[in-house]
Amino acid sequence: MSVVLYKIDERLVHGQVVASFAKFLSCDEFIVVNDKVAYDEDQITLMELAVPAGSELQVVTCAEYADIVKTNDFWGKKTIVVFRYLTDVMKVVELGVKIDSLNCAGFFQNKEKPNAVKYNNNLFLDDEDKANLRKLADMGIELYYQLTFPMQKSPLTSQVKF
Amino acid sequence: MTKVILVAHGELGSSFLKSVTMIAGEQNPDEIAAVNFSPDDSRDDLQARIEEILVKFNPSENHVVICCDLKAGSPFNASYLLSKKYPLHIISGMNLPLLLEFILMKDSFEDLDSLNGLVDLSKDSISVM
Repeated sequence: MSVVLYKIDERLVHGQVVASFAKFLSCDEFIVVNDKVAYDEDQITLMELAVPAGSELQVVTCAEYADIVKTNDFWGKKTIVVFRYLTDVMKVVELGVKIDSLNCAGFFQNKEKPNAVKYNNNLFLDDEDKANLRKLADMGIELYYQLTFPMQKSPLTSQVKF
Repeated sequence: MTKVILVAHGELGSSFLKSVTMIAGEQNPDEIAAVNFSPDDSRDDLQARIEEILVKFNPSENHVVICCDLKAGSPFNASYLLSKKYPLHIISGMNLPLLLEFILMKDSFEDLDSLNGLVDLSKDSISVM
């Protein structure tokens, strides 16, 4: 088993993720990581509706994801992991999860981030986001931007300086 | 009475309504409405705009049906979350034959069974030569 994609996407599992990435990467498992969503039945139902029939779905807290990695408790052979927010990534990294590369095309407008600046339709970042991105880059994690699968990957720095 | 809200990506909602109007004549805006969703819009804003029309259509007295383009897309997700708050039905994967059949006879579609019948009929509307 392997994680074939780590992605930040505030919209969680939806059209772009399912129709493009999952299809092209032949993934059979989705794991969504965010402390609040793990307990949000409505959001979980929406995701169950969104994933292709026959795929596994786990919706977990950051701590639970760290355990999944430690105990190798993946349910599929090729897994896509979606973090709702950058802060979820920071938490799992702090808990010791190793991430090699992170697709950052998925920061949207958000009432809780009134100071976010729009870099493009899928990148609304505030200063805290940029500081966290710098931390991840300093750890050697490849930060890139790829909106849908057939599109080329580009380094995140081509979209925003942070 | 049955009232209908069309919600889809881009301008598909209002475009479908325009096409229905072209074929079936002017529709009553107090009974049929469309909500568009552009790449610039936030999902909260989309949900608020749908809710505004939903409230106006009075779902506790009328049979309100939201027609969406794509299951699990943002228009559908917003409608689903609203269905937790207000009584309504959601049809996803709408196409023009379905909308014409539905809108022209909407008051005869009063419940889930009749909507299921509508959907079955509409699947037959897709063909290739």
